[in-house]
Amino acid sequence: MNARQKRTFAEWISFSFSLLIVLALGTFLGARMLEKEKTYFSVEAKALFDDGKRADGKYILPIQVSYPKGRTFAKLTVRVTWMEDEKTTNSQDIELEYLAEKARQTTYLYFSEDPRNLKITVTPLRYTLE
Amino acid sequence: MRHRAEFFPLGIARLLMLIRKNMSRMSEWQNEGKDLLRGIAAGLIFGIPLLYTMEMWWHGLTFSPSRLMLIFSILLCLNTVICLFLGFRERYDFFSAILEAIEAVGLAVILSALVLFLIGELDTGSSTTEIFGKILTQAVVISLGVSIANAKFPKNDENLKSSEDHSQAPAGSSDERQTKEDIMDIGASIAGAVLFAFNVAPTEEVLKISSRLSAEQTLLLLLFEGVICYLILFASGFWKRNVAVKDSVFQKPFAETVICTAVSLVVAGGLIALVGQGDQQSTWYLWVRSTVVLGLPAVTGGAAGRLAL
Repeated sequence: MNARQKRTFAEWISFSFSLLIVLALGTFLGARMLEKEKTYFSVEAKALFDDGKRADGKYILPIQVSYPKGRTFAKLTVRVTWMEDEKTTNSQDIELEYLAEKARQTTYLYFSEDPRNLKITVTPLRYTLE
Repeated sequence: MRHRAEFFPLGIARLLMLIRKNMSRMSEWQNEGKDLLRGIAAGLIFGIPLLYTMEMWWHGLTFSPSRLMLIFSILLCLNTVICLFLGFRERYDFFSAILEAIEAVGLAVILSALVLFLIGELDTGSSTTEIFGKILTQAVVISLGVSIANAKFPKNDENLKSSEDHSQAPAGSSDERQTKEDIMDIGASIAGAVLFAFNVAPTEEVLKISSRLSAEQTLLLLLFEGVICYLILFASGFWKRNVAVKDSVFQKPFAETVICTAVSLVVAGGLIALVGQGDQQSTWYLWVRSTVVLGLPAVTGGAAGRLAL
């Protein structure tokens, strides 16, 4: 086959499909580029007390982190704080490798007491943009 | 009656013309199918082992749109340059190279989307940004594989062994020669599977993928591995083997595909046991799933190994 040989109908069809894919990808990236790049995002982090379970003498509490809209970021740290008694405050940091747009990740924490009585607060601490 | 007599030859001539036209169009589609399959097979051989890299999935997520756009533009330019000299078709002018590069990227996007879906990295809950980002980063290597198909697997390679050519066949009965060929093929599959899967087996990715796949998804992945094996060995036309015993069931494409897939899966299972992470052998079920997951690079390597013979 040489350079001058006419492209066949079948070749044009597969080219058209490929072009559609490439254009879709290019258009999407172009549109995202034109958007003003945001660097500040809010994350929703909460303890799901109603979904907690008791197993083998321990209380397991799901901590849900969700991210409604924005650029994917990496290394999100969420701090879970609770009060064992009136004076003692404990905390546990949870680090998520990355959190994508519309993502929802759940981490499970073990407690020796019923988490409902521990005054638990969940706070996002930091994230990194690459 | 006379009118009818004139009508028939005319009708038959038209019918023949129509058949000829359709036959020519069918042959166009067959040629196009072969070209695309050669591109897909080459893309899979080059891209599959690199798809099992967690950091690459994450880069697709965390890179900014401008950085992804830069990668995308470089990818198209690089493929155009490669297609100018190699490609998966046999046209070497600048305009054809641009068209071929677009096709290579298009094919790579479809393939990487399919593989990412099969290994559970893309699902219905993924956002558009996540889908496009992950697919694009994975499509880079696959598209380069598609674009260099002609370099490694020429379309009309006269040096390839032909199944009809026995002029230089070694001495001995056809059964003996066939046994020797089969042993060589199995050896090549083992070598190829080890080469492709050895460095993937100890990684966390295999455990991560196998832990999240359901039984149905694992089965789907296994079927896909069989299809890839058939595609590389037979559909792409890369492999021309010596068949001494032609009427044997074991020399049929289906049997050869099953044997090559099975041998590669045995290699994958062995590698999981030898160099895999300890957790993967904690239960039989997880070990089997890990074997199927590692089977993807192993089967690709096993089939590619036979091409090297």
